[in-house]
Amino acid sequence: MTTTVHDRRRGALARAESRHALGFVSPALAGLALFTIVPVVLSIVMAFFDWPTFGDRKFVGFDNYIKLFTGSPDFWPALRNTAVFTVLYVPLSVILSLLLALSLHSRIRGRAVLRILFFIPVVTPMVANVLVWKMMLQPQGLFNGLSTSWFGVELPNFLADPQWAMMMVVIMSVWQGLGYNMLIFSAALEQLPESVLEAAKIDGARGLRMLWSVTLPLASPSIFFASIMTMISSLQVFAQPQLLTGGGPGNATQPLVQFIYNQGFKFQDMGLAAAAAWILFAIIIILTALQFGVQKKWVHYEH
Amino acid sequence: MSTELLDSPARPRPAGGATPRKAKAPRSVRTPRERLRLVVAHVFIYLAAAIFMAPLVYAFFSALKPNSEMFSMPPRLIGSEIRWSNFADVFAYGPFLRYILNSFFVAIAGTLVVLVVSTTAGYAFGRLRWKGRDAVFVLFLATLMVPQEVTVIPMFIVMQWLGWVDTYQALILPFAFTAFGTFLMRQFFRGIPFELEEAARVDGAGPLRSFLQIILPLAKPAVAVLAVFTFMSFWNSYLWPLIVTVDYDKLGTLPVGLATFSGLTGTRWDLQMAAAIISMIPTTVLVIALQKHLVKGISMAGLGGR
Amino acid sequence: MKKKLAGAVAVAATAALLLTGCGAGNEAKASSNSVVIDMWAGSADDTAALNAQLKIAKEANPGLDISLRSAPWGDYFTKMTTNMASGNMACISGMNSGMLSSYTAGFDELTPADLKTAGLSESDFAPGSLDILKNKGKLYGVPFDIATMLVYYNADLLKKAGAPTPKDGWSFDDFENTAKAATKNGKFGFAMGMGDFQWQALPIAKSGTQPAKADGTLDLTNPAFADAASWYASLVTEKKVAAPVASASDTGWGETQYSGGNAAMAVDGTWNAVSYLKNDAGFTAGMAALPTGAKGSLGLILGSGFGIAKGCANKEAALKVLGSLLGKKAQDYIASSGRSYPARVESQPLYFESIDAKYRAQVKSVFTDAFKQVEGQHVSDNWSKVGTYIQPNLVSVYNGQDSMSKVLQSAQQQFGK
Repeated sequence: MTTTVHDRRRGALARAESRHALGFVSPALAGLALFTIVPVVLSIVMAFFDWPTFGDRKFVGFDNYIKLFTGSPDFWPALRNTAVFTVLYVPLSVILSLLLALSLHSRIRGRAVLRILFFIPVVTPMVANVLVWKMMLQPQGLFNGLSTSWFGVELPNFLADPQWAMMMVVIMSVWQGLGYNMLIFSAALEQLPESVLEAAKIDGARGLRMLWSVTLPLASPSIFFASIMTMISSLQVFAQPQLLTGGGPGNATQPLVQFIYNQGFKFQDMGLAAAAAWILFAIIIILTALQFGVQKKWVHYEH
Repeated sequence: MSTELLDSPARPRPAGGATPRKAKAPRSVRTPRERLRLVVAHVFIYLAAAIFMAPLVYAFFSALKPNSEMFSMPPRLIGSEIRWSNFADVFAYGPFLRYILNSFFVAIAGTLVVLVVSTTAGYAFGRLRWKGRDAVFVLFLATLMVPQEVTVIPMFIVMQWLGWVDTYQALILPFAFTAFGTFLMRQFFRGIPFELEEAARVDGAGPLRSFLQIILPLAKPAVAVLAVFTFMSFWNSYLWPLIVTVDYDKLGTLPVGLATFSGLTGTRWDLQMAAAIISMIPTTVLVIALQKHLVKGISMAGLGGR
Repeated sequence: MKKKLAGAVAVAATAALLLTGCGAGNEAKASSNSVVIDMWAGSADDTAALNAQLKIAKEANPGLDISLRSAPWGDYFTKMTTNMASGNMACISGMNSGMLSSYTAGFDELTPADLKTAGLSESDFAPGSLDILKNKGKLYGVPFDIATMLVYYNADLLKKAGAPTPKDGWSFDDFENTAKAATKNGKFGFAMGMGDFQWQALPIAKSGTQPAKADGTLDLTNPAFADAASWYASLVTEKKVAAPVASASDTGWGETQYSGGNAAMAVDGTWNAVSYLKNDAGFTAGMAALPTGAKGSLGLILGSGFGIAKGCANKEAALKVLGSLLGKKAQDYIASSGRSYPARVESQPLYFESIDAKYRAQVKSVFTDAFKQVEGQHVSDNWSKVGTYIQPNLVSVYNGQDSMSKVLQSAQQQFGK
């Protein structure tokens, strides 16, 4: 923080400022304490208890964690599903939205309207988006209907086949989230330093070469930022599989968060759910740290 | 982004908005090659937009069909009749109006709380000097890393302790204090030159006055970004209301209400589609109305990684 | 901007006031003469019917402040879990026979003295109906309706396809023949069930055994039931007389297919009889008892009712309300509105009177037939977990990626301990 301006007349004034600051910050602090710190601490505690929703709680040490890794048939599949979703979703979403942001440059007519169009699924309740896709993906729905009546080809039963079901969860999610990253990238692209771009043009950079060696490196900080945010949110995926596939067939699309929800609110085992949530947290922290670790290799910051 | 809608109101993702900017490049000379490239770009982008919009268009027309024709073979966009009455039936089927009003109330109240809390705290972190400020701020930032799912179950238990299960405050307050808004406003406030405030201070204005009269008015774009994304995440929030509401007739919000069209005798696809379309309207209107502020807000708040 | 801000602050303040107002209202509810009822309700019709019963209870107990909370069936039991956890359970809570075993911890056992306080007598109810909400010999609730599973058919589709119409005393061969004959023109003869009741009804009838024993041990892998269940799955995988289920989130698949006019037959409970007769798609609906196999046609007596929550602050008052919710007047209402088949014997005739004259004889004979060979449902303590596990796996079974016997086996291994 800069402290250059206020260096004189400290003492009384500074104390008054501290008092004011306390007033300004206390609502946020109180709320944070009650609604974040307390639940986090409680959740740490719960993970060490056999904590049924109803009945006696019992301290069990690390049993919940052990049970997750050894005695819970849905846990490993849930981890796998979350991983598969993230690995498919993040690159698809980032690349497609970057492509879109690049194509939607200032010389496109109707640009503002197009941006809003691509943004509509982002601001629509996820439940509504999922319902629309579920309707299209029914065996008697739009996709299979068009395919059989135009080409005579019967499409697979998308949401009932383990592989296809996951693909469809990913595709639906990409469609839904595309407009979001697109806007981040659009904002970033508009801010690229004009002087550098002009200089590159004068040097004869055009087309793909311009894109690859000038535009993308310049935009890499926002690509990095968007990738991290996209990754974190995809590790927390819940509503799409919950509503589109119900986690099925079997547990083929049940991600970690749905596992947590089921354990806590369907099977009434809050301790196990809390333990699983902490494992999710650990994964997010580790992956984010890793990304920050490798960012030097490809993220280009101006100095 | 995909999962933010399901819970965590008030942890909106930083993001963009749509601002039409004046074309930067002078529309001077264009080679035929450039012109061709521009045509191709238009074709590509409009085709992409058409494919992209197809699901929503299909949903809209489905909302106008009778339920029994929802899955006809071959598929038809328009059914044997156009039933605008489906949109009215949505409101007759269940307390859908109540769901909408609840959603509005929760989203507006939640957004206001977030705005007040975030701007004041952001001001204290960004523009005032006090002991322990940086340490507290680090604590704030640390809580940003905790995913929703970790806290949702204990949060429910906190609601029990407070006796808030099945109340409006349980829908609004728990996610109105996350650190994101504070972080966003702090970043923005720090970018405002100190001289501006200094002049007012010399005139004898206290921090409160200079906050209200100088800093806040300058923060309009950032406040708009925060408002839109907070409203949106409250409006779309699914997991938390699903857990904390008991009486849907009283406290049901739109996302949980949308699922009620699947009843004991099967799913009313026609009504569900009509309800889905209705639920899209408010947020879309909000984005259109505030789009000018959005991109400016992102840029000025230093988001997008720059 | 200043004005806008002032406005915003004013609105925020008003909101805060409103909120505290709401909070206060909630606390006031917990006074000594208030009784809350929790029940599932999906559509406005359901809610209206509940309110009518509420009104009856209010008239009978003028001194009490009775209120109602509702959530759709799909979410109701999840909510009950959270309510139990938070001590927020309503004094009177709706319960269903198939779900009870997971929720007994939340309910008080009803003693003969309790029933007396409520003004209810066992002899008023249909034989066997008080077993519906019993678990391990303890009574946790009194049913307002009794139900069993039926085969519903779309008479128009059957006629168009030239398929034989189901009738009383029909066999499983007849069932298959009808299903086969009706599978044409892009329609299917049958629609697979996803819910526990819906998919288990035919295997239970065919094998004459239940997937759990009377003592509450899980018995999914007993050969007779497992074979019948595999036969059931073969309707879609081999005989292809039913459409494969689209998604594990389609918990009401068979019902949707049938009521949407895409399938000629489906299995569902008697509770939906009236809604199917008045279906939205406008076809002529019909019904028949479950087909008969080598071991007769075993059906389950199912039903829903109300129980008293453990730790209810004023049990006495709650029992009084329970008494009026299950009294003659409320039961007459349920029956005459055609919503469900009442558990109280003297109200039962009113149910048939409520039905459209052209269906009345059929409904009456089918009901009589269907309730002839019924027994109480056996469930294990973790029955709803078993259901939660099996349901998404049924999708794999119906789509031929997994076999029914394997799914039952792994469920038995996981939950049968």
